[in-house]
Amino acid sequence: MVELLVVALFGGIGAVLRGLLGNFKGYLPWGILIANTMASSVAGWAMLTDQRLDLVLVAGLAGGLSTFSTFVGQTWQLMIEERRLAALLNVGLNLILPFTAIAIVTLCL
Amino acid sequence: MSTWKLTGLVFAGGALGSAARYFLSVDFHQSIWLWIVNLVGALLLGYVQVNRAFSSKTSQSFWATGFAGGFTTLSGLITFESFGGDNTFIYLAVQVAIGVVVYWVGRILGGERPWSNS
Repeated sequence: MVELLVVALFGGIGAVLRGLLGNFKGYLPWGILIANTMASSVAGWAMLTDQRLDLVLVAGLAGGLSTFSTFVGQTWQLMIEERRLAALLNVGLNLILPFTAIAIVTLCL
Repeated sequence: MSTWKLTGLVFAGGALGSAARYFLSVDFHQSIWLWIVNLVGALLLGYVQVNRAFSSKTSQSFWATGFAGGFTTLSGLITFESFGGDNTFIYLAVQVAIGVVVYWVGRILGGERPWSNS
């Protein structure tokens, strides 16, 4: 029960951060890309340093900050607007940048 | 509805969504659970973004940005694959493609005509 509450608290904080970042849009929905990249860095860092941070940072903060649903929704929107290159870039960057961020975190530790 | 109240609703939705994800992902390190959570969340987001019952700013803040956003996770997928997962980049791209289709199905279930281009 305490575990659930911890995840809820930090997931809520992550969601608010994502909500603020989500306003940052241009050629691509940059805000969500930043949120997903930041969340993966935080989760990667937590998994490499201290397993006890899993609840707070991996399941909670990073889980709430990152999103799959909004990411696919925005990709759909780009496709429906026939902005094919932007849609492709959105998918590519949302997969490549988080992986790269984790790789950098791993190398730095 | 003030910005603070909407922010509070995003927090509440995100908290509930994250708790639900954690509760359902009994073993968080099983990619099948992440699959299901992310696809259910994508379906839900498509539904609430077009369904009239959810059109208010309060509903969008709680259900779309908060709950559906907090329930699903991309960092979960990426960290899973970075630390021990044996799936390829192509596997993830396929998962995203399926997510886009499921999101679209959510919109249709929510009441949007399939080719309305809106």
